[in-house]
Amino acid sequence: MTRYAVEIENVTKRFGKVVAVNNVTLRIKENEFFSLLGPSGCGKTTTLRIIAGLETPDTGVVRLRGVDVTNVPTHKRNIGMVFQHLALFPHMNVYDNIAFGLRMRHVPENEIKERVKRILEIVRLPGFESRRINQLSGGQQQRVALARALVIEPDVLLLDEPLGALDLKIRQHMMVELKRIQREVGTTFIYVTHDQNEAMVMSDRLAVMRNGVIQQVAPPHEIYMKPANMFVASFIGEAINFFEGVYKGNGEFETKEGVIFKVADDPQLINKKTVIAIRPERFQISDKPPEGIPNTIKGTIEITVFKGSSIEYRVKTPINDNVIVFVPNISPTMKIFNPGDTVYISWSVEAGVLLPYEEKIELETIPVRR
Amino acid sequence: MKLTDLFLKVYFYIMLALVYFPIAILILFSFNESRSKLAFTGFTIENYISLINDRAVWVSFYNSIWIAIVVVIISIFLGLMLAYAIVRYNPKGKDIIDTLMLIPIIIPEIIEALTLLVFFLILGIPLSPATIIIGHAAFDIPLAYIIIKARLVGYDPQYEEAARTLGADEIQTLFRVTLPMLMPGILAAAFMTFVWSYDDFIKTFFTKPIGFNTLPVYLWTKLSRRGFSLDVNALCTFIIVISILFTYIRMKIIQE
Amino acid sequence: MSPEFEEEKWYIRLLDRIRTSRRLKIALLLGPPLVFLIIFFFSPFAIAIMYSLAMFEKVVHQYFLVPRISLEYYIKFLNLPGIVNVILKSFYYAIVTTVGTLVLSYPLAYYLAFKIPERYRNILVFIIFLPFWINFIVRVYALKFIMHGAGPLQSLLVAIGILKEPIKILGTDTAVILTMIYSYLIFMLLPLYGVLEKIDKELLEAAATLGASPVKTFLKVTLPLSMPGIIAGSLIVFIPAVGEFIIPVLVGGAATATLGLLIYRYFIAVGGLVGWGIGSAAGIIYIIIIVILSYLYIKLVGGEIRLA
Repeated sequence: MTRYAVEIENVTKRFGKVVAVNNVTLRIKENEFFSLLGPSGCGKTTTLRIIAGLETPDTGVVRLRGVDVTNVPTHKRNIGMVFQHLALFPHMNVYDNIAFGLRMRHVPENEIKERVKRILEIVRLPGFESRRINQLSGGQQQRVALARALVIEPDVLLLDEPLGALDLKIRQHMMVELKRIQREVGTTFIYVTHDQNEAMVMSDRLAVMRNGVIQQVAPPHEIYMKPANMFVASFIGEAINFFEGVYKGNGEFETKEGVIFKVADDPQLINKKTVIAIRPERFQISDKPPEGIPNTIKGTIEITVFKGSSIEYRVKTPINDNVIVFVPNISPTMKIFNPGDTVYISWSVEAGVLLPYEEKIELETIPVRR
Repeated sequence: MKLTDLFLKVYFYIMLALVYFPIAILILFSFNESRSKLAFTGFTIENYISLINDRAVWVSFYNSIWIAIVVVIISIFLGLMLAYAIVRYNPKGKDIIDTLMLIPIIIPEIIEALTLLVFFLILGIPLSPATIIIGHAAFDIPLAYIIIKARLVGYDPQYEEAARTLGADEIQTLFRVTLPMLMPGILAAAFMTFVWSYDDFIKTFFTKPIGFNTLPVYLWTKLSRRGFSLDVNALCTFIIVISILFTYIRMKIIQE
Repeated sequence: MSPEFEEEKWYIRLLDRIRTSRRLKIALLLGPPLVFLIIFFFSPFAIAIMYSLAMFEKVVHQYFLVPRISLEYYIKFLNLPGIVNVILKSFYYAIVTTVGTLVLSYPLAYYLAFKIPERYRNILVFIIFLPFWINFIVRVYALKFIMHGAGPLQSLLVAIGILKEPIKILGTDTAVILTMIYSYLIFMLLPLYGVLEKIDKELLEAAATLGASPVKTFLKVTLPLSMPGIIAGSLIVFIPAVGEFIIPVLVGGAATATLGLLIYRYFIAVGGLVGWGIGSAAGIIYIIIIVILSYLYIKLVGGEIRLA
């Protein structure tokens, strides 16, 4: 029987009338870099705080390495946490901040000295022991917060949107650093963010949350290619196209306009209102109707955007008037279409994912790309 | 941990009761029938009737108010000038002035009061309401300065610069942009200085002419004359009600 | 070429001069307030210093400045009978009051800052601060009324049987200290609450995640971070408390003479060159002692934070 690093089972948490975490079950493996992703207010931070013990769940069980810690106070769980605003102790220098957890565990001072030195090397801040917190840059403070939580060798490290306040370049650098450190130290990381880019880049697996409910748990590749529902499909990735219709069974999908497309069979969705979800880069586009490809529609180019390594088209079709198509810019001689051109876009059966229809996906919380 | 929470809560409410208790008893006994302080025998407003009839009370109340108002006007005016000059123009003596302004606040009031009295006596200046006002202002100007300066520091000069680029000259900028934006700070300073001046005893006591009283001074004369009488309670209750009224007004204006 | 035209030009020229010269603007703004303060605060203060150094002589009704410096008044003051007692007593009251207010208000401030959700906080803060907006003398009298041997509280206690007979509290050290603590509580509570309220709650959570129990968190994080408030509160209470004279007069007796009372007596009751001389000397000594003690206090307590 595998022992999971962290298990939460049927955990629910209410604040007044709001159900922040709704019957959530998650199992996180040892040495995993696991992310909790979702828009603001979806319950991911509350879930993290429940694992930390900073909130008590109304129902459910929390286990750390197989041990039930639901009623164990925070300071007795062997966790490490990096807070959104870092929470570095302003009245202590770098050394004392990092040593704090070790001192709470009564580690002898000479050992503390060694371990602080080592962890500072791991986070690439050698010699920073005597610096004061307010002398450090954002990225450096980040790393001290990380070092402080890691040096105690916790069973699991919890990170609550730690990169939010950093500039773009530094954030990108830190993502690489975090991944590297996690690999080097081997600790299980549970990372909470609303930025899908962070989650996709760093995670071994991730869970998408919405309104307190887990939508899907899978590795990044699978979340991207096989989203479980329309929300996940929209939230993840740069863009997604939906064609609405009804699934007739036998791999046949009929749109409102009566056009038939071929999809992979899904018996559960027969005669249900559904959509076909297609990533923009899975289309083929040409000025002549293609041969031998089952799914083709005719359309007119509305907008052409030259993005350097790729070209983005917005195509108006009878079925969906804003189809987004990405074409990699492979050769200088390839044809680039202009607004007004008539084109045919097509896709293979596997490129289209059949998903249940959902009313109005509110994406008001689309992460701002800074 | 839950135990400490409970302890803190209980402690808080006990202390709250203890703090209010003396005041409550004071007010209660102002309604006491007999002259005795021993027990509450009956409810009467006779103390209040004699209070209302005591002309000296109303005169000193009136004095407290108008003196405080004058002091506020002077202090805000001069304190504002000082704060504005220091923050906007950053003159060279800035740090010295900052430290100097702290001195009147730190020096115990009795020393300020007595030295001022001696000062007036030496120069042959007769004591009058003016000397009271001067004494108050000497403390309140630095106070107003500190409060207004704190607000001014956090206030971006870009607003004034924007006004200038839009064609406003210095005076217009001052009245249309700076002062309105500083209103919260000015109001805060005004309240603090008013309450301080209105409630002041020590300085007033030593710088006042004979026969002229403010409310706190009048209270003191009644207290130090004979030990007890319940009309003192009535006077105190009156003062308490006025204080609560002021605090309430202050809250309302701040909310606005 | 009308006369009004001429006047306008002069007036505007002056304004322009002011407008363009930074120096003039500064002078005009700093001038009046500084002049006022120099005349009415700093010169009285300077005069007091000169008085204490016996630099004044009186001829008939005129006072003259004499070019000499003498420490006679300081010596006279320090040689007053029982002066050591008075000074020690004043400091004793002040220290006990400071410690008392600190111990009593810390839990209050802590409760307000950490244990109350935001929406109730303002109301509770208002309620606990409200009594202290009431006039100082009224509050002192309220306590006196309760403490009085022939007053309601004591009669009640006797009637119930808790006391056999009324205790004489008024006129004792206890009365003065109790009243001082009651009156000065707010001056400690305000800075403490101000500092505690600003402590980032995330810091406490971080300490918990690092293994610190609630007690350890308090000792290692909350307490050190509240030090500036403790220092500020202590100074705001201690400095005036040493010179307090209203409370000893109203609530104390012959045995509770304080420095403030002494200064008052020498200025008013004795008066004249000698009275003012000794009074000023006492005042200057008071100020010097306070400055030294405050400096030491700040150094000592400020230094300890670094040690921890």
